[in-house]
Amino acid sequence: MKSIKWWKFAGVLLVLYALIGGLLLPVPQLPILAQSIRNLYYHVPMWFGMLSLLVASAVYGLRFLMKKDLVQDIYSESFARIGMLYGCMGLLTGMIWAKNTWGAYWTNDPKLNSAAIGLLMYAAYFVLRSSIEDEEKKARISAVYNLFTLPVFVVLIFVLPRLTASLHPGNGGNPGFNSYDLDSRLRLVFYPAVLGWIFIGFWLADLQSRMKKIEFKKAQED
Amino acid sequence: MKHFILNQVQQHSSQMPTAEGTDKYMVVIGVIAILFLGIAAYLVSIDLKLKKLEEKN
Repeated sequence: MKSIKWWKFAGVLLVLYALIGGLLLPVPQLPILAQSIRNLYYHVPMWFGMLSLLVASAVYGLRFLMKKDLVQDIYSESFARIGMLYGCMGLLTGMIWAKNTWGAYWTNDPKLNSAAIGLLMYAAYFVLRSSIEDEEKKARISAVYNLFTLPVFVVLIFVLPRLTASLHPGNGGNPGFNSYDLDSRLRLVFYPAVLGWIFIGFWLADLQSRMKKIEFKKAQED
Repeated sequence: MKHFILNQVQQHSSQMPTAEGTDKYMVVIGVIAILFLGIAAYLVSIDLKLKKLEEKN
């Protein structure tokens, strides 16, 4: 147990708190949203987690380009992989929420379409990786692709939707969650949830990368 | 008028859990907590197994 880092347990405790607190603690009464406002504690942390994981992935991509060390590439890929998982979870949970507040699983909303395009861009990252045999070349090209994709992705899901009309909170004329109401009841669960899910995401990426490192070492010995 | 009030009360109560409405609510919370802790424990076991493999290599 001692070999497991503290932040992994912190992640478990924070998410556990958010899972329970998110269902029990009082929330503001809002029209249309009603009790579904509690999704703020489950759906939104997926996107915050995804962004943290993708930033970590790009950082390791950059480190690979500087050090030419294939282990950095393993980290980069693992973080991107878990980032994609979080993104898909964010889309699916968002669709259920959308159906019950906007009336459709998918609307042609700039935020939704941008998120879908963004995830496809990262899907292309994995296609690119699997199409290159040479490890060194694969790592180099995918690191460059990664570094170009992240800024475009951030612009797509955080900047462009703000410039147009959007149903999604935090975009267009719609306020973000901090103006749902100013009382701190939502933040009390929301911030721990975001931090907890980020830790859990990093843990998953850590496990994935360690598995890949063992595979990589085995392959080198053979 | 009576109908209107009843309707309002019903709508309101569907949004705010009453003492009756939250009956055995804690049971579900307990189930969710156990599910998540189970998954977390599984992650811990994978982590420990990986540690062993890393030491072997």
